[in-house]
Amino acid sequence: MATNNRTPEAEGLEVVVVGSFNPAIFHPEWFLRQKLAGEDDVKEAQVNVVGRDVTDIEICGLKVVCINDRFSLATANISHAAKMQDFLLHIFALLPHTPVTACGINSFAHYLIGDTQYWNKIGHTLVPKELIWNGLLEKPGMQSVIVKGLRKGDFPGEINIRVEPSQKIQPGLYVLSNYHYQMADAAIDSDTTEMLLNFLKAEWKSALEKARIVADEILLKIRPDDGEHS
Amino acid sequence: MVHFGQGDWGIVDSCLEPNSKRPVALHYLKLLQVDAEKSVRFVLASHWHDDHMQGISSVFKEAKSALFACSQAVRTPEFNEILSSWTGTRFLPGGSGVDELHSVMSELAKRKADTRYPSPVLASANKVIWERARQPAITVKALSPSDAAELATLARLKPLCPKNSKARRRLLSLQPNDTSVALALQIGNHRVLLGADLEARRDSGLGWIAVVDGFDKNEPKHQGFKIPHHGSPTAHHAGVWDHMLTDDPWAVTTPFVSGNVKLPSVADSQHILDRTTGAYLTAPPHPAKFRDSNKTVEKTAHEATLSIHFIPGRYGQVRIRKDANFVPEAPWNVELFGDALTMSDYVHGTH
Amino acid sequence: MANIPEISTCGNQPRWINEFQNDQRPRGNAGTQVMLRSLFTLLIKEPVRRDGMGSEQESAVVSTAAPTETTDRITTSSRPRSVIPRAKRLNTLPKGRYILLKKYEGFVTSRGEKSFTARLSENASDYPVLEAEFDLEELSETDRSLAVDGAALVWTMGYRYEGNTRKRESLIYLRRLPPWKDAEAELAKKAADELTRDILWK
Repeated sequence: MATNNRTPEAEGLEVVVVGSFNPAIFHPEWFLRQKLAGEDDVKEAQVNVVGRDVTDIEICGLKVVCINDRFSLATANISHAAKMQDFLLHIFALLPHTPVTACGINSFAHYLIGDTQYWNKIGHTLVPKELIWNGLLEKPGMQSVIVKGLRKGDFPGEINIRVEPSQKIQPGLYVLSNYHYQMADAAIDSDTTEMLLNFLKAEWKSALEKARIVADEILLKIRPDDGEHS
Repeated sequence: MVHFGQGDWGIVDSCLEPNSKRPVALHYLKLLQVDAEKSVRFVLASHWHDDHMQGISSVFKEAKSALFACSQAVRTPEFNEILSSWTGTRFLPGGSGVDELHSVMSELAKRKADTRYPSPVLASANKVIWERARQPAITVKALSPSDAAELATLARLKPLCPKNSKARRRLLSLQPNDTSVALALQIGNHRVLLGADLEARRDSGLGWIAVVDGFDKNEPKHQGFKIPHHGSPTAHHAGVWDHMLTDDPWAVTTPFVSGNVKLPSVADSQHILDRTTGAYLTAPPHPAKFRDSNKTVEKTAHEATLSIHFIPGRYGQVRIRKDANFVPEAPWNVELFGDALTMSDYVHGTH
Repeated sequence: MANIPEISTCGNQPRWINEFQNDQRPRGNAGTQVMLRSLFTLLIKEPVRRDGMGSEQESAVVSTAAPTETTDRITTSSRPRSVIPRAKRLNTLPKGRYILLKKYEGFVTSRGEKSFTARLSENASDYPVLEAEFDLEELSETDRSLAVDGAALVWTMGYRYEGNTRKRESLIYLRRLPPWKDAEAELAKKAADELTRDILWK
């Protein structure tokens, strides 16, 4: 596939698991005991809160946030993606009876567009103004576009793509991809953890790359006009 | 690859063509406008080393008239333990012999109920893999592995099984390779010996000692030799040259590069040249220099490593042909393509 | 009937949690749900956003959309300070910025006393593949024991930001995959047996 040869200025990954959790488990010492982190990692870990109802820590470059019905693991350093997968596989292999109802693998990327005219062209192509918006608003501008699609395969579900002007890099493009997987209602708790682990193995690579792939396609198909920088 | 004449082909092992990234056998047959589906009679996996297995499942899937053959070790429970490791590592990037093995087994399982497909064959010492009665008559016979070799390999496989090892790792190639399938080809009055990666071991029940011991010294000798194990001294057995090969046979081997190991070495090649004047290499054992379009990456990679390169670095083919109706003493026609060279040129550095 | 909120797995939905100081009586704002956990503690559950997708960008957006029904509204009602729960925004993303220039994945092919060699590729279909020898010193002391034959690894190169400082970085990560469990190994063996059982070898 042809690419636009751009490197994102920032990229990240967040996995969200919806289910029933005990946030108090996820103390840095627990990661040390499970050999996911070393002693130095534990010393350098940032503990914002660890409690029965909420846990918010940073360890090994990853942020762990857990409330009773939601667990998330995230990084703003995409080079930690493999480590994230290892953490997730370990965590849920160690907690095999966790009731899980859904999981989402979210990848995002920020791209520098540089040229304001080109940046505006992207927004205008994704959300044309002439037919509707120019007649309703003064200087309409695209704030956000969300498109949902289906995902086939062994773990069918949805892919939700969100495209916005970047708030981090300006003028820039922000793309977020969400690979959503819903467990079947009939699945029992130990099944759902197994399903989660298999989903995290099977769809990981594809989910990780999706934001880049979408951005590549947008920047390839929407080219700057002559005279603009690309 | 072997063409037996009259449109019958046999494929032994597989590697990839670097430009198309397709199995080189399929790439070559397409160039010759040969229909792989109808013309390939057998696909044999001589052993499960990664460098001999790349793309073999694709070859087999396309060669729908071909039987599949491999070492009889695949029929054992221990081998199934190795196969089972595929489920736990398939999400890891990078293919391996186990991935290809699993893919071949899946294809065989799909074909099992359909009698249009030929049955797969388990290779063991002195077993005929494939034969053709019409002239020139063809016999493809396995010379290995022996029963002792199979037992030795299975004993080494056991600790690597998921139940025993627990660690989720890629299975690397087993050394020494006792279950490698060496083949004796008889095409009319001509004979060729394909050595696979079979090594010479001290134990008389294993490797080339077992093969030479089992060879009938009254049988006609082989005119050509695919040198085993990339010309390594571990695969050299004088008995093969003295008893199984004619004087001055043609000999060909492929290079191997990994870390500091580069086979065949110049010394190994000189020993081969002491036995025959007609020795060839499909490419010299040189890796390709690491380069990246991003110069920052290139610089960083060199700074972060003790050495870095692409493998394989060089690529070529040796084609050796003869009319099957000619007498055995008639010379063979040798052609070199790509980076292929004579062993003499390699030894003398004239390449 | 109230809409059942969509279960969303999109990242970094702003989650509002309530810190309780002394008295833990619930604040019954419309739209919040109160869950009784025990006689002694109550948890006020934050409302689930109905727009589906949160975004890590939202922390930077100043929005003038109608406020959602959270407890963060500034109020002038008189309540003892000690029982006013304070809402705290929970950000699920760590700080930091990294520009990835290249990523290779592969496995260790051999290990010596002072170095190890790995076979790597950028994409699964790459051919030829990369072979690199690394000094064991490139790994932390705890990671060196992980560099064994067949071990999976990831090698990344890029720029890491620490504040305004940009550093070029090469990082080798030896994967810490969960070990085979007996039940999993048994299942895998059954699958392999199932696959090969009916193959009619000659």
